[in-house]
Amino acid sequence: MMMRRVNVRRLTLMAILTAIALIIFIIEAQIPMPIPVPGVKLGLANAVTLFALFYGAKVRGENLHNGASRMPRPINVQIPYIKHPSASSPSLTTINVFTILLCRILLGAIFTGRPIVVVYSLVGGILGFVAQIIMKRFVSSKQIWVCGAFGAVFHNIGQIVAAMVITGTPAIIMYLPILIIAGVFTGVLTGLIAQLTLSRLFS
Amino acid sequence: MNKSERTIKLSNRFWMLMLGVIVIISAIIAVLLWRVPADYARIYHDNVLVDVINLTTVTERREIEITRDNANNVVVIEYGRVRMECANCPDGICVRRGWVSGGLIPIVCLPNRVVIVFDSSDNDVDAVVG
Repeated sequence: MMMRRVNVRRLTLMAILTAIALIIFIIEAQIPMPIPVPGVKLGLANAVTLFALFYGAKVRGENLHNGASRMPRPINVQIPYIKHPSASSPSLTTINVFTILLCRILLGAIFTGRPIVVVYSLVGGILGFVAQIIMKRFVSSKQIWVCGAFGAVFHNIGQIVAAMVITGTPAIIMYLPILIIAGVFTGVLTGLIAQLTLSRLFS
Repeated sequence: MNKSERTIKLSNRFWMLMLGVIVIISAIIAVLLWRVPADYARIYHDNVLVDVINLTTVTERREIEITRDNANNVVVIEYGRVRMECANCPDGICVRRGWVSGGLIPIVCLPNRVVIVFDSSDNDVDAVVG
């Protein structure tokens, strides 16, 4: 059997992103939401997923020349190998990003919730991830907020379907319009976080 | 051939319009659901019907306790309205929802799998009970 070579830089980057997402997820779970609607939350951990999805594209040189930023020049961040992406910079594939997401969901459930929470997070997380992969083909690196909005909306749809199946109550679908509205706003927010972080790293 | 050339890019205005339309349509549907009168409340726990209440015929305050498995929820019923008084779930979203007197949007306690569903007629109730 051939030994597969492990890209240590990529592995490290994935571990760091998982840790960041997990910390955001755990802190966010402690903040009560002002709207008493089950399933509504900021979903800030998704900013890491979006960052990772578009980070790979940035390193591979896709989407890099997509219009000039209208924002003032960001502060120079001194991270040499990120600032000058080269062949040695770790690139993240879709599978890598999905691994980060799965690790965050499973570890997050262990740290914060009851086992049943895993089901909601998994169904929502996977559906939202698929939506984001599809949307990624239609947006530029200045439109990550669009990707985030669709990801959040489909995350909420996935959660509602999981809740309908688990509780056996189809009437829960009545929450869908509210959850779609919430998803658009929280998704744009997390998308903008990922977008601004990336634009500062690759300025 | 650069990969980015094969993907379709649409303008910011297009996406804003699209998300705006989605939000407005959802808001209209939410308001319509909110305005439907609800005369019947059905309480489910773990997909099992616990109680059916005709909210228009309730004369005095009544408490329904649901204690099974790990769930411990208290539902309070008054004339025309229902609320989850207390629950031992970690988020307490169902309790914070407060009194519900109309609309088709159910009160849900996901961690304890307790759901209060509203209905304007008792057609479905007959189907479940009968």
